[in-house]
Amino acid sequence: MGGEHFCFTDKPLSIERAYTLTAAPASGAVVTMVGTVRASTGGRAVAFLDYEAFEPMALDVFAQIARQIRERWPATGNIVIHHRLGRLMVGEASVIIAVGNAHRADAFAACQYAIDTLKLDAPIWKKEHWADGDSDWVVGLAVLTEPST
Amino acid sequence: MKIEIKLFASYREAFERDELVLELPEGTTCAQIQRHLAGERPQLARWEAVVRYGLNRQFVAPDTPVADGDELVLIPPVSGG
Repeated sequence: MGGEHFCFTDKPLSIERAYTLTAAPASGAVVTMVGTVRASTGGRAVAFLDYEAFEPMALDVFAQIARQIRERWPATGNIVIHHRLGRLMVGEASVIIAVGNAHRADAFAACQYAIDTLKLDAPIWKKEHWADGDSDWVVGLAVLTEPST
Repeated sequence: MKIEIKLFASYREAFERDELVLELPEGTTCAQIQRHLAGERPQLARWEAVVRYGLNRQFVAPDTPVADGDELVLIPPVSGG
């Protein structure tokens, strides 16, 4: 059983730090996912993003993600989820997830599960500020695919 | 009963504050609170079908009644990562 390191920060994220916290002798693979601010959405130029979170509940969601990963992929080692908040410019990292596992296939699967579930369930929001001065709260894919009533 | 409601994203902007304390009748449900807030800030009505509710930091169904002293978080569509 590995350890876990979750945090929110308004400082730039470090992939080296995430990797250092995840690497372990039993983990033959460490898969890292870095989410970065894209220059455009739907062809519209993005100036910057503002991120906010309800941190205590989001940290609970991260812990739940880790429990689910350990159930599904028992050879999981360390799990790191670092999320940045505040104003992020294009190209900056908003989230880093790192998962160690004895085997690479499980590490890939668990890392993908972590980012997908985070985006569905963690109370974290981002507001897109467009280059033309307008802005919108980003609405997740899950919402767009749910039937409206 | 008194309920503390935490506001984020479009909810925080609509009320220009991070939280509200509401005095509500016993048995009020999460969904009724959403409708109450949308009554005060009509721009929030569009979230009715998709807003989620975090009651004392656990996701709960819209028809869940709140109790005195509960902390309710209105969770408009999330987009972290």
